[in-house]
Amino acid sequence: MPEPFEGKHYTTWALIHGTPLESAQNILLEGFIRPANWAYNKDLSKSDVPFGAFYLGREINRENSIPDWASRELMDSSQKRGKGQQKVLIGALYRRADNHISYKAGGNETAQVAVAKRGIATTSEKYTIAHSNHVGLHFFGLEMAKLAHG
Amino acid sequence: MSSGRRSVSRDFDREDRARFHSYGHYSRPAEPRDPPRWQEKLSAYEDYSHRESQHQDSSQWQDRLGCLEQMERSTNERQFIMASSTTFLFSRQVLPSTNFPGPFPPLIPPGGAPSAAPQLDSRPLTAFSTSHQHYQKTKKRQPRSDTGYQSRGSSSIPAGHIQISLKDDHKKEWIKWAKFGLNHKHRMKAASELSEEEKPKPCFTIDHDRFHKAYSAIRSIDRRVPLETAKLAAHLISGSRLIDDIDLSKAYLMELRVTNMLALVFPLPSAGSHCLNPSKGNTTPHGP
Repeated sequence: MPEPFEGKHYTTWALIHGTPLESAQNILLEGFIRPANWAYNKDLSKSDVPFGAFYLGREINRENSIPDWASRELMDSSQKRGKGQQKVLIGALYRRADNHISYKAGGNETAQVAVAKRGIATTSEKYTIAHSNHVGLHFFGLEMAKLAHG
Repeated sequence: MSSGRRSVSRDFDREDRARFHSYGHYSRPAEPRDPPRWQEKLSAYEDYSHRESQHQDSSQWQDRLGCLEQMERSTNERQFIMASSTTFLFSRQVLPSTNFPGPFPPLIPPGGAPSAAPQLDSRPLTAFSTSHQHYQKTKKRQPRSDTGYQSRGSSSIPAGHIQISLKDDHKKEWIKWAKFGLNHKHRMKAASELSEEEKPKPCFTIDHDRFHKAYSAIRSIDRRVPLETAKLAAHLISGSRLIDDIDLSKAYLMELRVTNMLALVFPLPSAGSHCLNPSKGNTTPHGP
């Protein structure tokens, strides 16, 4: 992942993105996660402004890899969220100079607009939206039930 | 006292209706005329004035009598107005009102006489006219003011002034943001925007031996890895063209204690995980 602003202060986030199998295959082929799908409307007041995809995120220290505790915590909590209850979980790192902005209210559209300027935003629904240009892939995982195997 | 007032009001109505019939605006034969109503009305008023004279000044009642005579003279005008289907405004609904702008003093208390007096006919007077035209309400919408407050009149803006508007135009604001987002140089296309040529091309077939080698490697990570999951992982790695790049020996099984699940984790090769493809529009991934 490139060093933002020549190694000056930046924030690092560990992210987990849940996705179906076909989308996971495309993500692994391209090497990055595209923004969330959206529908264009000629009436722009009804159009979205997509800049980033939806993740579960934790801010971590300045590291080049996702620490074990962060990946465990994120994958563990992913089952509690709609976005995490998918076949494939993709772990990614986010880095950028600006701090995140945390929204306690408002819709995802407002957060997407903030992502255009700040790079990363947390929404009132506990999701994290990160700018797709600043996210690099680190691992992918498949979850399975533990009880079935004793 | 109120009964006297009521009788006056009823006489007005009956007289008006009788006169209206006498002018031939009605196809039925004219009803027999009542005795001269003006006399009765005057006498009734005189009785009324006698009763009221104990409490009020006599000069005041003379003024009222003068007004009543004026009212008689104006009856012809009223009949003409009735014939032209506008008597609705001058009928019993308007006369008792205290807001009557004419020179006549209010003879009937507001709201008392019309409801208490016996109604001869509930139809409006204009219903007897052949030239009666149904009154149609013309709804004219009031233009919404820019202020958002309907109570503020926009017609009272003096020359050289502008109207203060507190209207929140969220729609325009969002259109501005949408244009900003769509024209942003760092915006990456979503998967739904990609054309067929731009979409990634997965691998649809793989050599049997290579697949089984990968499958066996995944199975050897942990005995708790189920067959279906190992097979699915092998298919995903093969279809993503990562079968030669990924180091399956680094894969591991992670216990997720809170949800009581297991996660089979495959670290991606460092070169691929940091790949930011310039052809997709992210030529400056360092931010603004």
